[in-house]
Amino acid sequence: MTGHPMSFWALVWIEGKKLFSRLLLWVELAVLALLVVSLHVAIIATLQTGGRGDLPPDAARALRQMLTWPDALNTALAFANGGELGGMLVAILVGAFVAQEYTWHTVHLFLSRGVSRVRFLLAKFTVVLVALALIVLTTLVAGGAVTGVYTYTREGTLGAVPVGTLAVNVARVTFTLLPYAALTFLLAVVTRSAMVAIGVGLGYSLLVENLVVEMLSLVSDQAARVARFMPTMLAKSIVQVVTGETQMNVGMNVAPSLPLLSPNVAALLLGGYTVAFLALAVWWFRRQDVTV
Amino acid sequence: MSFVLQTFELTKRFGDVLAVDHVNLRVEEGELFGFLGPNGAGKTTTISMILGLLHPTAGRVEVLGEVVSPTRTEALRHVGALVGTPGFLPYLSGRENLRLLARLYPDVDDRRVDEVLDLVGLRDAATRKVKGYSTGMRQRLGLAAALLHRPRLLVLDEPTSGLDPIGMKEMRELLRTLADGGTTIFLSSHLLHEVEQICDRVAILNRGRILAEGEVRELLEGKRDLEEVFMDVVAQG
Repeated sequence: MTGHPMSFWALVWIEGKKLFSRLLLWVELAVLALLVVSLHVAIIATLQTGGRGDLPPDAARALRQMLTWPDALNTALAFANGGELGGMLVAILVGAFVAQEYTWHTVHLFLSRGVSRVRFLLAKFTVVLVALALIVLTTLVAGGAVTGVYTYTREGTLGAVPVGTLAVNVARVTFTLLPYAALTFLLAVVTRSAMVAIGVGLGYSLLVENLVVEMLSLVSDQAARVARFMPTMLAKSIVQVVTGETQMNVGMNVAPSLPLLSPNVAALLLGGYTVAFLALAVWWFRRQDVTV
Repeated sequence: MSFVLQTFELTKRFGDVLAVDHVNLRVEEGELFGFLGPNGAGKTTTISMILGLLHPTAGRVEVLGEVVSPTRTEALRHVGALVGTPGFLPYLSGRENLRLLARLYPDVDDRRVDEVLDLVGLRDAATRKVKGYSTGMRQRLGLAAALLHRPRLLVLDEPTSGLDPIGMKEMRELLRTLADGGTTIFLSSHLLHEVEQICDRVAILNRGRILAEGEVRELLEGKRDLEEVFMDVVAQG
């Protein structure tokens, strides 16, 4: 039989066009930028006014340092990590991106044309990786803009920006989003419902994970050690490398101050979660009946 | 004899319901084959297995001599399909949707996209977003998508649903032209008059089983029309 094998990269291009043509992605990025800008402005305003008297001098100095370039750029990145705002945005984006294809019957359209199920999902996930990096870059640009103005106003210069380190840190924070993306991906494939995938994904990142960590830490030291293996705590370990131990907690993250695993082990486990969720999604999708 | 599509003892069970029961079909190259049956007979389930969307409980499908299943779909590159409500990205235009699909085929260019839009009479609406399309327009776009890569086998499930009488007539003429041009067409329908007018051979399915199969003129011998054949067969089955 003649015929060209369908190029994986053609599928990636198609999935990219599907995702980047969607209003949802750009609305999410705009909301994220707005939140990051608002939070930074609020912190700077507090520091400039009321905080001056209430904060101990050391704390005020540390906070100012966090808001001044180049440290401020890494602080901004932390807003996007998996255990915080990033996890929520990823659940919404990935849930809609994957599950709505069932509702719109575009899964049928592509599969009935001979597109391999494995390639279809992997091409989708490849595009999701780009979206995750965009989420992280948005926090960097939005937070960087506000703190850039703050830095210039205070210091009269922006100073040297360690571009290489910053690029590595963008990759690190993007990496913390992977298990959340893969989990929502799995939920969307299994349930075929955007509402369920987004709901459960959000519920997990906002509530379940933090509750489990809290409860385990209350039970015993032994149980608290188990909590270190949850994605939110693994993400925290990576983010500490990015921010140099000075992380601002935003969103619903209430994870207590537990001793964290080393960043290398955390990265390995985050990768493990991602591969496991993705492999489960592929396995399920291969045996799934796609009813018309 | 060259068969473009064959099914061997194809069976699908959903829990206790036997939706498709040991169906054997042979569709020859270049013929327009009608697949008839009342609603719920198992036509769409059979077609979904042919297109690799459903896992057969038993039996197998072969397209152009190659086995097709949800995990073996290479042969489906030569198939164009229109099943159920055609699925498209609602936030893209009709032309953008087709251009997206065209990316799957190195030999399909923008000119071919416009050609199929012309063929189904959607050129004027090509730049409108699909979410604003009527059911009939979606059906036409579905047919355009099915024809995009000049498939050797067209699998169409109720292709005239949602079309007005003029659209239905145009669709029948188009299918006949395609079949005369060498495209094999597997047409599922419950519109007996439509099938009688354009098909070479038919199979009648009821409760998941093939009750009759043969050339239209043979089945019509001694009968008024295909409706009478159909009613007799279904009553006996």
